[in-house]
Amino acid sequence: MFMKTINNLIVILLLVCITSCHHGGGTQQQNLSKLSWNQVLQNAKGRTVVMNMHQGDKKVNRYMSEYIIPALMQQYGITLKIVGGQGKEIINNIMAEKESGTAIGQIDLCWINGETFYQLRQIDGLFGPFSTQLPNSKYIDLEDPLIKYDFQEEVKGYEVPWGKAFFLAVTDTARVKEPPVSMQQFEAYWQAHPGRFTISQDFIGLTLLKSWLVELAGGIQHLEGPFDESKYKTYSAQLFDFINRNKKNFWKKGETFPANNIPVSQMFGNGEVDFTFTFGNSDVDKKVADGLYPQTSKAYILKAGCTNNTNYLGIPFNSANKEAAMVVCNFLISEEAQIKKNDVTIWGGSMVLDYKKLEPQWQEKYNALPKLKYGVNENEIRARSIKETEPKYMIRIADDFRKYVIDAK
Amino acid sequence: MKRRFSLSLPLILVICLSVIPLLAGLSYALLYSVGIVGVLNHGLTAEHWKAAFANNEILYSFFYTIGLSLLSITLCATAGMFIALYFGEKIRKGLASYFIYLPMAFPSIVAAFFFFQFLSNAGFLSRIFLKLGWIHSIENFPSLVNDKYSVGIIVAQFFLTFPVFVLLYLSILSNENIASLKVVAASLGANKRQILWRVTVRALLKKSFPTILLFLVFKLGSYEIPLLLGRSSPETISVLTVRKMQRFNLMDIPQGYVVALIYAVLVLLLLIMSLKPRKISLGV
Repeated sequence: MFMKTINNLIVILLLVCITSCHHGGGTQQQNLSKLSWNQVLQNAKGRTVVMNMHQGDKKVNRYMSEYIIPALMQQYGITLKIVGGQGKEIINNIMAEKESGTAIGQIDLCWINGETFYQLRQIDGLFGPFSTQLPNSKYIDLEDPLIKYDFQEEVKGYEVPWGKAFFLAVTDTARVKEPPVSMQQFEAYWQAHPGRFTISQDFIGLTLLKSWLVELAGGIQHLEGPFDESKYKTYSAQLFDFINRNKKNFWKKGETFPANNIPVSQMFGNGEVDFTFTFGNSDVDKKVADGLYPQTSKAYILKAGCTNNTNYLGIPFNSANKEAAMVVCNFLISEEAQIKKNDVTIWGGSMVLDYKKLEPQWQEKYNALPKLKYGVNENEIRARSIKETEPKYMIRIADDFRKYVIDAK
Repeated sequence: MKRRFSLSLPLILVICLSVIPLLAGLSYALLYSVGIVGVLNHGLTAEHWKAAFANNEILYSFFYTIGLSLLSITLCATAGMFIALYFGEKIRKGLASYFIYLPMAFPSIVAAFFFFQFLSNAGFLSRIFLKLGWIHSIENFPSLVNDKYSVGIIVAQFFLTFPVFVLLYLSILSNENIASLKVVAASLGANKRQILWRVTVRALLKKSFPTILLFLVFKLGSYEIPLLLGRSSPETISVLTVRKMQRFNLMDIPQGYVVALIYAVLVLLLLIMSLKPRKISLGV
């Protein structure tokens, strides 16, 4: 009897799992494109938008809680509720809702980068297209390839750009008189200063490896477009040979690599390694101000260029407050919010608006912003920005870095 | 005559709170790993299992995790027992009582960061050694985190767990009347060494065995400490599972479920084999 009850329970459980998990459909994508902006504003009033975003930076948190949230309530009657979570959490959450057929999701808006966009598009987890419906999108150059394409995939209005991030190397000029830029220069540096360099296994470390892949290919123009197996094989073989022949001069003799960039930055701060990498041009200024990095720190661009990683705002496919989420997006890309965001004393996030499209008074305000002390000049960044490669390059590099470098005996 | 089971309230509670979620989780993991559920799966397949075992990564990871956990628990239990036997109830008095509880208040992630800062080459300990002139540069400081022998992981796990064993053995010593057993053994002619090893240690180990086993299982699933203080290869089973589940490549998720499933089944088998199952309450 008891065993029979247990058996029945197991059967019921399996049936529940199969039936509940195999739908994966969720709600139909609502067609809001026919609504005028005024109707969107009307429908948004009184709604609560739950936004998923990374909350690891106190300045960003303060910008949201002290400026954005009160302004949204005052101007549009929208309550913005922020919950912590980034890439993996967003994917896991939306994927679980998709798999269980959840019609109304918990999240209405999320802050995503190319990696997450690629994954969300894979599972058809985003609502859209909606970005051109936002009145403030007129200030953005939507044809700019660094905005139009996210990880080489056309965004097609399924996300709205919120900020720009650039991949930069960071070093301490007191310790490193001539910061290495090319792979050849890095090799020479490692030979002269063993044990003072490492590569994290996360997004930042993988971007460094991609930068070197681009350098080996002779420039991003050779890796543009869809994934090319033969090109990848040629250049990745050179890349892993380069790392393997040099890893004896890495931190811990290249026998281990940090799981993420946090310990690398800590080790850079306390002088154990001479380089770290970042996606934020204002990152060094903020860390110097917080006393984490020495005042002789400096961000600089590698030979391959400055990998651009625009970050975006996306609305999950099953958000119940899509109109309100659109209004929030529109406010976040307003001139006022973007220029405030760009201020290094407030956030220091790079503006996504096209300077030329701004009204003169906003151009003046932008020009009056305090300049970065330790970051790279904006014009230089603009001139040397390169697109991210197609996502499969990153997937393959991640797998092969483990296979040919970490696990290689 | 055949006995009849009745679903008593405690049993229903155990089934609802423990058995059903466990079975649901395992079923989901199994279905995901064979391609039946999952938004990117396309139907029944053995490909994910084949891919997971395409190299020895999982096998190495299991052996490494089991070895590491066994070593860590052995050290904790030994040190805990030694302190309890040597200091006895004195440890629960004064400042010592405060310090003995202190490590247990540390979340694993905090302990992991603390030991990273304390034991790394540019860490606190290394700087003291440098200041004292015992090493010429911080590079000369021995590798104690992310190291070949997992010293950092073992030290951090020891720090968090050994106080539990001190308190456990103190409690057993006071509750199980081991003092009387020692008197009996002595009156029967046992020498000090025999009393220690054949009576006290044996009784303590016997009584603490279920706790040791539970902590072993707990250590097998430890995540933050091996993530931050361990090496990239081999990885502990929890780090490997999370890596597979949360990687950029969503196609690796089913492999993560393969690892999680094997791990869960192994732990369950370990518990079933080693712990005496409680008798199911029979009908009244």
